[in-house]
Amino acid sequence: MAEGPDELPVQLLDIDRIVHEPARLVILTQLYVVKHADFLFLMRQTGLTQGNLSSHLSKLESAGYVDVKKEFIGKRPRTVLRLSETGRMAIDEYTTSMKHLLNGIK
Amino acid sequence: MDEHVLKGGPPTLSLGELERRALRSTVEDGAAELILGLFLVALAMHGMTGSYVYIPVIVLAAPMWRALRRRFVEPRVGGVQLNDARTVQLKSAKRIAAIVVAPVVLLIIGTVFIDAPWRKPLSEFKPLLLVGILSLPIIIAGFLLRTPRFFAHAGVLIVAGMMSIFGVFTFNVALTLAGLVIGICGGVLFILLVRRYPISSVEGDERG
Repeated sequence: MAEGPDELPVQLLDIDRIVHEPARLVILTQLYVVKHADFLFLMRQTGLTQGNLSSHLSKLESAGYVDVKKEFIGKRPRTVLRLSETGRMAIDEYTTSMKHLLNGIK
Repeated sequence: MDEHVLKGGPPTLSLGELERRALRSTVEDGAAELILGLFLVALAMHGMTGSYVYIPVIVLAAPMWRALRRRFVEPRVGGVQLNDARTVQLKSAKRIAAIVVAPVVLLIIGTVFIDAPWRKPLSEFKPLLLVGILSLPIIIAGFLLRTPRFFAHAGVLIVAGMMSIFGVFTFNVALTLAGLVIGICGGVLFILLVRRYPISSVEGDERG
Protein backbone atom coordinates (compact mmCIF):
# COMPACT_ATOMS: atom_id res chain seq x y z
CA MET A 1 0.00 0.00 0.00
CA ALA A 2 1.10 3.53 -0.67
CA GLU A 3 -0.02 4.69 2.78
CA GLY A 4 0.53 3.18 6.19
CA PRO A 5 -2.23 0.88 7.38
CA ASP A 6 -3.41 3.37 10.02
CA GLU A 7 -3.81 6.21 7.51
CA LEU A 8 -6.28 4.48 5.19
CA PRO A 9 -9.41 4.61 7.36
CA VAL A 10 -8.79 8.27 8.20
CA GLN A 11 -8.56 9.07 4.49
CA LEU A 12 -11.74 7.11 3.82
CA LEU A 13 -13.57 9.09 6.46
CA ASP A 14 -12.40 12.30 4.81
CA ILE A 15 -14.09 11.43 1.52
CA ASP A 16 -16.68 14.05 0.59
CA ARG A 17 -19.98 12.24 1.16
CA ILE A 18 -21.95 14.75 -0.84
CA VAL A 19 -19.94 13.79 -3.92
CA HIS A 20 -19.54 10.11 -2.99
CA GLU A 21 -23.25 9.26 -3.37
CA PRO A 22 -23.54 7.52 -6.80
CA ALA A 23 -26.47 9.55 -8.16
CA ARG A 24 -24.90 12.85 -7.08
CA LEU A 25 -21.56 11.77 -8.52
CA VAL A 26 -23.24 11.12 -11.86
CA ILE A 27 -24.99 14.51 -11.74
CA LEU A 28 -21.75 16.30 -10.86
CA THR A 29 -19.67 14.54 -13.51
CA GLN A 30 -22.35 15.29 -16.10
CA LEU A 31 -22.26 18.97 -15.17
CA TYR A 32 -18.44 18.86 -15.06
CA VAL A 33 -18.23 18.26 -18.82
CA VAL A 34 -20.70 20.93 -19.93
CA LYS A 35 -21.01 24.67 -19.43
CA HIS A 36 -24.58 24.37 -18.21
CA ALA A 37 -27.54 22.08 -18.71
CA ASP A 38 -31.21 22.24 -17.90
CA PHE A 39 -33.10 19.98 -15.50
CA LEU A 40 -34.70 17.93 -18.26
CA PHE A 41 -31.38 17.24 -19.97
CA LEU A 42 -29.92 15.97 -16.69
CA MET A 43 -32.99 13.85 -16.06
CA ARG A 44 -32.71 12.20 -19.49
CA GLN A 45 -28.95 11.74 -19.29
CA THR A 46 -28.80 10.30 -15.79
CA GLY A 47 -32.01 8.27 -15.88
CA LEU A 48 -33.03 9.63 -12.47
CA THR A 49 -36.67 10.37 -11.76
CA GLN A 50 -37.84 13.96 -11.44
CA GLY A 51 -38.24 13.75 -7.65
CA ASN A 52 -34.96 11.96 -7.14
CA LEU A 53 -33.02 14.41 -9.27
CA SER A 54 -34.73 17.35 -7.62
CA SER A 55 -33.82 16.04 -4.16
CA HIS A 56 -30.16 15.45 -5.08
CA LEU A 57 -29.92 18.86 -6.72
CA SER A 58 -31.24 20.52 -3.55
CA LYS A 59 -28.44 18.88 -1.57
CA LEU A 60 -25.84 19.87 -4.13
CA GLU A 61 -27.18 23.43 -4.17
CA SER A 62 -27.08 23.60 -0.36
CA ALA A 63 -23.47 22.44 -0.44
CA GLY A 64 -22.71 25.19 -2.94
CA TYR A 65 -21.62 22.71 -5.62
CA VAL A 66 -24.30 23.57 -8.15
CA ASP A 67 -25.71 26.95 -9.18
CA VAL A 68 -29.41 26.81 -9.95
CA LYS A 69 -31.10 29.45 -12.07
CA LYS A 70 -34.81 29.50 -12.84
CA GLU A 71 -35.93 31.23 -16.00
CA PHE A 72 -38.79 31.31 -18.46
CA ILE A 73 -38.69 30.60 -22.16
CA GLY A 74 -41.99 32.05 -23.29
CA LYS A 75 -44.48 30.61 -20.82
CA ARG A 76 -42.38 27.56 -20.12
CA PRO A 77 -40.29 27.47 -16.94
CA ARG A 78 -36.74 26.20 -17.23
CA THR A 79 -34.22 25.32 -14.54
CA VAL A 80 -30.63 25.84 -15.65
CA LEU A 81 -27.89 24.11 -13.68
CA ARG A 82 -24.21 24.91 -13.65
CA LEU A 83 -21.35 23.41 -11.68
CA SER A 84 -19.89 26.06 -9.35
CA GLU A 85 -16.16 26.54 -8.86
CA THR A 86 -16.54 24.92 -5.43
CA GLY A 87 -18.25 21.94 -7.06
CA ARG A 88 -15.51 21.65 -9.68
CA MET A 89 -12.85 21.70 -6.97
CA ALA A 90 -14.82 19.14 -4.93
CA ILE A 91 -14.88 16.72 -7.88
CA ASP A 92 -11.17 17.23 -8.54
CA GLU A 93 -10.37 16.59 -4.88
CA TYR A 94 -12.70 13.59 -4.76
CA THR A 95 -11.17 11.92 -7.83
CA THR A 96 -7.64 12.54 -6.53
CA SER A 97 -8.52 11.06 -3.13
CA MET A 98 -10.27 8.05 -4.62
CA LYS A 99 -7.41 7.32 -7.02
CA HIS A 100 -5.00 7.60 -4.11
CA LEU A 101 -7.09 5.31 -1.95
CA LEU A 102 -7.83 2.73 -4.62
CA ASN A 103 -4.19 2.56 -5.66
CA GLY A 104 -3.53 1.12 -2.23
CA ILE A 105 -6.01 -1.75 -2.72
CA LYS A 106 -4.01 -3.83 -5.22
CA MET B 1 -29.83 9.14 -23.66
CA ASP B 2 -30.84 5.53 -24.23
CA GLU B 3 -28.23 4.01 -21.96
CA HIS B 4 -28.52 5.53 -18.55
CA VAL B 5 -25.33 6.18 -16.71
CA LEU B 6 -26.73 4.58 -13.59
CA LYS B 7 -28.51 1.66 -15.25
CA GLY B 8 -26.64 -0.26 -17.91
CA GLY B 9 -24.25 2.59 -18.60
CA PRO B 10 -20.53 2.32 -19.19
CA PRO B 11 -18.64 0.32 -16.55
CA THR B 12 -16.35 3.28 -15.95
CA LEU B 13 -17.38 6.88 -15.41
CA SER B 14 -15.46 8.48 -18.27
CA LEU B 15 -15.60 12.26 -18.49
CA GLY B 16 -14.64 12.07 -22.17
CA GLU B 17 -17.52 9.72 -22.91
CA LEU B 18 -19.97 11.86 -20.92
CA GLU B 19 -18.87 14.89 -22.90
CA ARG B 20 -19.24 13.02 -26.19
CA ARG B 21 -22.74 11.92 -25.13
CA ALA B 22 -23.69 15.50 -24.36
CA LEU B 23 -22.34 16.55 -27.75
CA ARG B 24 -24.05 13.63 -29.48
CA SER B 25 -27.37 14.53 -27.86
CA THR B 26 -27.43 17.66 -30.03
CA VAL B 27 -27.63 15.57 -33.24
CA GLU B 28 -29.70 12.62 -32.04
CA ASP B 29 -32.92 14.33 -33.07
CA GLY B 30 -32.27 14.09 -36.84
CA ALA B 31 -32.90 17.83 -37.39
CA ALA B 32 -29.45 18.22 -38.96
CA GLU B 33 -30.20 15.47 -41.48
CA LEU B 34 -33.56 17.01 -42.36
CA ILE B 35 -31.79 20.26 -43.24
CA LEU B 36 -28.93 18.48 -45.03
CA GLY B 37 -31.46 16.55 -47.13
CA LEU B 38 -33.26 19.78 -47.97
CA PHE B 39 -29.95 21.38 -48.97
CA LEU B 40 -29.05 18.47 -51.27
CA VAL B 41 -32.44 18.59 -52.98
CA ALA B 42 -32.07 22.37 -53.39
CA LEU B 43 -28.59 21.85 -54.85
CA ALA B 44 -29.97 19.32 -57.32
CA MET B 45 -32.73 21.79 -58.24
CA HIS B 46 -30.03 24.31 -59.08
CA GLY B 47 -28.53 21.76 -61.47
CA MET B 48 -31.91 21.04 -63.05
CA THR B 49 -33.55 24.46 -63.20
CA GLY B 50 -30.69 26.90 -62.55
CA SER B 51 -32.51 28.34 -59.53
CA TYR B 52 -30.45 29.47 -56.57
CA VAL B 53 -32.84 28.07 -53.98
CA TYR B 54 -29.92 26.42 -52.18
CA ILE B 55 -28.60 29.84 -51.08
CA PRO B 56 -31.58 30.63 -48.78
CA VAL B 57 -31.35 27.05 -47.51
CA ILE B 58 -27.69 27.63 -46.55
CA VAL B 59 -28.48 31.03 -45.00
CA LEU B 60 -31.46 29.68 -43.06
CA ALA B 61 -29.89 26.34 -42.08
CA ALA B 62 -28.64 27.42 -38.64
CA PRO B 63 -31.82 29.37 -37.68
CA MET B 64 -33.97 26.43 -38.88
CA TRP B 65 -31.91 23.96 -36.83
CA ARG B 66 -32.15 26.17 -33.72
CA ALA B 67 -35.89 26.69 -34.21
CA LEU B 68 -36.54 22.94 -34.59
CA ARG B 69 -34.54 22.22 -31.44
CA ARG B 70 -36.15 24.98 -29.36
CA ARG B 71 -39.68 24.24 -30.52
CA PHE B 72 -39.68 20.43 -30.54
CA VAL B 73 -36.52 18.89 -29.07
CA GLU B 74 -35.52 20.89 -25.99
CA PRO B 75 -38.99 20.76 -24.37
CA ARG B 76 -38.70 16.96 -24.60
CA VAL B 77 -35.08 16.07 -23.92
CA GLY B 78 -33.70 19.28 -22.44
CA GLY B 79 -30.98 21.64 -23.51
CA VAL B 80 -27.25 21.76 -22.92
CA GLN B 81 -24.48 24.27 -23.55
CA LEU B 82 -21.10 22.67 -24.17
CA ASN B 83 -17.95 23.80 -22.45
CA ASP B 84 -15.97 26.63 -24.04
CA ALA B 85 -12.99 24.28 -24.43
CA ARG B 86 -15.10 21.86 -26.47
CA THR B 87 -16.50 24.73 -28.56
CA VAL B 88 -12.92 25.81 -29.33
CA GLN B 89 -12.06 22.22 -30.30
CA LEU B 90 -15.06 22.11 -32.62
CA LYS B 91 -14.00 25.39 -34.21
CA SER B 92 -10.50 23.96 -34.73
CA ALA B 93 -12.04 20.85 -36.30
CA LYS B 94 -14.07 23.06 -38.64
CA ARG B 95 -10.88 24.91 -39.63
CA ILE B 96 -9.10 21.62 -40.33
CA ALA B 97 -12.09 20.44 -42.37
CA ALA B 98 -11.99 23.70 -44.35
CA ILE B 99 -8.27 23.22 -45.05
CA VAL B 100 -8.93 19.66 -46.24
CA VAL B 101 -11.90 20.69 -48.37
CA ALA B 102 -10.22 23.76 -49.94
CA PRO B 103 -7.92 21.84 -52.37
CA VAL B 104 -10.88 19.73 -53.53
CA VAL B 105 -12.91 22.91 -54.14
CA LEU B 106 -10.03 24.40 -56.13
CA LEU B 107 -9.80 21.20 -58.14
CA ILE B 108 -13.51 21.38 -58.95
CA ILE B 109 -13.24 25.03 -59.96
CA GLY B 110 -10.28 24.01 -62.11
CA THR B 111 -12.20 21.23 -63.82
CA VAL B 112 -15.45 23.10 -64.29
CA PHE B 113 -14.62 26.73 -64.96
CA ILE B 114 -11.01 26.95 -66.16
CA ASP B 115 -10.23 25.97 -69.70
CA ALA B 116 -7.09 24.03 -68.90
CA PRO B 117 -5.68 21.11 -70.93
CA TRP B 118 -6.15 18.75 -67.97
CA ARG B 119 -9.75 19.79 -67.59
CA LYS B 120 -11.32 17.24 -69.92
CA PRO B 121 -10.38 13.97 -68.17
CA LEU B 122 -11.00 15.40 -64.68
CA SER B 123 -14.40 16.92 -65.50
CA GLU B 124 -15.76 13.41 -65.98
CA PHE B 125 -15.21 12.90 -62.28
CA LYS B 126 -16.94 16.16 -61.29
CA PRO B 127 -19.89 14.37 -59.61
CA LEU B 128 -17.52 12.28 -57.54
CA LEU B 129 -15.49 15.33 -56.57
CA LEU B 130 -18.62 17.23 -55.61
CA VAL B 131 -19.96 14.40 -53.45
CA GLY B 132 -16.44 14.13 -52.02
CA ILE B 133 -16.63 17.76 -50.88
CA LEU B 134 -20.10 17.25 -49.45
CA SER B 135 -19.34 14.00 -47.67
CA LEU B 136 -16.01 15.02 -46.11
CA PRO B 137 -17.51 17.32 -43.43
CA ILE B 138 -20.18 14.69 -42.76
CA ILE B 139 -17.48 12.04 -42.20
CA ILE B 140 -15.54 14.42 -39.92
CA ALA B 141 -18.73 15.18 -37.95
CA GLY B 142 -19.44 11.44 -37.68
CA PHE B 143 -15.95 10.85 -36.34
CA LEU B 144 -16.07 13.74 -33.86
CA LEU B 145 -19.52 12.84 -32.57
CA ARG B 146 -18.94 9.06 -32.76
CA THR B 147 -22.15 8.87 -34.80
CA PRO B 148 -21.90 5.99 -37.31
CA ARG B 149 -25.05 6.98 -39.20
CA PHE B 150 -23.18 10.04 -40.51
CA PHE B 151 -20.76 7.67 -42.27
CA ALA B 152 -23.79 6.01 -43.85
CA HIS B 153 -25.01 9.42 -45.09
CA ALA B 154 -21.59 10.10 -46.62
CA GLY B 155 -21.79 6.63 -48.17
CA VAL B 156 -25.18 7.46 -49.69
CA LEU B 157 -23.69 10.59 -51.24
CA ILE B 158 -20.69 8.73 -52.65
CA VAL B 159 -22.97 6.01 -54.08
CA ALA B 160 -25.01 8.82 -55.70
CA GLY B 161 -21.83 10.19 -57.29
CA MET B 162 -20.81 6.71 -58.50
CA MET B 163 -24.28 6.05 -59.98
CA SER B 164 -24.00 9.31 -61.84
CA ILE B 165 -20.56 8.42 -63.22
CA PHE B 166 -21.74 4.99 -64.33
CA GLY B 167 -24.77 6.58 -65.99
CA VAL B 168 -27.45 4.93 -63.83
CA PHE B 169 -28.97 8.37 -63.15
CA THR B 170 -28.05 11.91 -64.08
CA PHE B 171 -26.10 13.63 -61.31
CA ASN B 172 -29.02 15.84 -60.29
CA VAL B 173 -31.41 12.92 -59.99
CA ALA B 174 -28.84 10.96 -57.96
CA LEU B 175 -28.29 13.99 -55.70
CA THR B 176 -32.05 14.41 -55.23
CA LEU B 177 -32.37 10.74 -54.27
CA ALA B 178 -29.45 11.05 -51.81
CA GLY B 179 -31.05 14.17 -50.33
CA LEU B 180 -34.38 12.39 -49.97
CA VAL B 181 -32.79 9.34 -48.33
CA ILE B 182 -30.85 11.49 -45.83
CA GLY B 183 -33.83 13.80 -45.20
CA ILE B 184 -36.22 10.88 -44.64
CA CYS B 185 -33.72 9.31 -42.25
CA GLY B 186 -33.64 12.60 -40.31
CA GLY B 187 -37.42 12.86 -40.42
CA VAL B 188 -37.86 9.34 -39.04
CA LEU B 189 -35.41 10.07 -36.19
CA PHE B 190 -37.21 13.31 -35.47
CA ILE B 191 -40.64 11.68 -35.34
CA LEU B 192 -39.32 8.82 -33.17
CA LEU B 193 -37.86 11.32 -30.70
CA VAL B 194 -41.05 13.38 -30.57
CA ARG B 195 -43.14 10.24 -30.01
CA ARG B 196 -40.74 8.76 -27.49
CA TYR B 197 -40.60 11.85 -25.31
CA PRO B 198 -44.04 13.47 -25.24
CA ILE B 199 -44.14 16.84 -23.48
CA SER B 200 -46.95 15.55 -21.26
CA SER B 201 -44.44 13.14 -19.65
CA VAL B 202 -42.66 16.13 -18.12
CA GLU B 203 -44.51 17.51 -15.17
CA GLY B 204 -44.62 20.62 -13.06
CA ASP B 205 -42.21 23.51 -13.42
CA GLU B 206 -39.22 21.34 -14.27
CA ARG B 207 -39.68 21.21 -18.00
CA GLY B 208 -36.56 21.82 -20.04
